[in-house]
Amino acid sequence: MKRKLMQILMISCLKATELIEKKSMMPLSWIEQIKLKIHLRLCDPCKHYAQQSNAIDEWMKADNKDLLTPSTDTTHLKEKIIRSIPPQE
Amino acid sequence: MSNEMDLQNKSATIQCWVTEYTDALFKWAWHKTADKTIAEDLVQDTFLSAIESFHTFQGKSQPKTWLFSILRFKIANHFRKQFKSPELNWNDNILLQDDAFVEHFFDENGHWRMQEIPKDNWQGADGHLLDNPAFSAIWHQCFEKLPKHWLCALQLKYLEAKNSEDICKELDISNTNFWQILHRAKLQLRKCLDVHWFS
Repeated sequence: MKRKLMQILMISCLKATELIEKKSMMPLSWIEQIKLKIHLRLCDPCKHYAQQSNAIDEWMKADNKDLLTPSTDTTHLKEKIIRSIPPQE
Repeated sequence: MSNEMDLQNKSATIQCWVTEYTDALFKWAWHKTADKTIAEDLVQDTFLSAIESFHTFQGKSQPKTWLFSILRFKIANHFRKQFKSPELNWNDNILLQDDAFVEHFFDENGHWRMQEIPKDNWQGADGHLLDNPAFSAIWHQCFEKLPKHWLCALQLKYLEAKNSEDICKELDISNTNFWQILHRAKLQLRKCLDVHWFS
C-alpha cells in the first residue's frame, strides 16, 4: 500500500521541471503540488533547476528601462526618425 | 492661431523626445527582440504613433513612461505577429512533438542525463547581473539561438500583464501547448547560460 502510494506520488525529473514551468503560468492542482513538493525535497538537481528557472524569470521581467547595455550609436536612428516626422500637418 | 502653435509645438516636442529618449527605447527594444533592425523599426514606429496620438498625451505621465508604454505594445504586437507568421510554418513546433529534444536532457525514465544535471553553480544570478555587459551579451546570444516560436511565447509571457489564457487565445494555442513551449525554451536557455556563463 505504502509502496503503491509512493509510486503514485513519485514523479520523474522531466515531469517535475514541467510542473515548475506550469506553476509559473497557472495554479497547480493539489495533487500536482504535493508531487512537486515531494520531488523537490528529494532531488537536488531539480531544486537547482527551480532556482535557476526563477533567476531567468527575473531577467525576463527586467524592465529596467535604463539598461546599461547594449550600447550602440543611435545617431543615425535619431536622424532617420526626425526626418520621418512631418514638420506641419 | 493657437492650433498652429500646438502643431509646431508637437513637432518640436517630439523631436526633443527623439533626442532624449531614443537611446533608452532602443536599448530596451533590442534587449527584448535581440534584433537590431527590428528594434530600430519598433522605436521609429513608436514615435510615429506618438505623433498620431499626441493629443491623448496630456502630460499626466512622464513622456518617457508614455513612450515606453507605446513601445511595449509594439513589441508585444511584433511577437504575436511573428508567432503566427506563416513563414515560420510551425517548423519550430515540430521540436515540441519531437522527443529528441527532451531526450537530449532526460533519459527514458525521465531522469536528468549525467552531463545535463543542474548544479549549484549559479552564483550571483540575480537581477543586477543583466547590468554586466559581458553577461548581457551572453544573454542575447542565448536568446537568438532559441527557435523563433519559443522566443515569442517566452517574451509574451512577461511583456504584458495578461494572464496565460488570454495569451493562448491570441496565439491560438492550447494552455498545455503554451507551457510546454515555455518548458522547452527554459531548458534550452538555462543550458546555454550555464555553459557560456556559469561554467
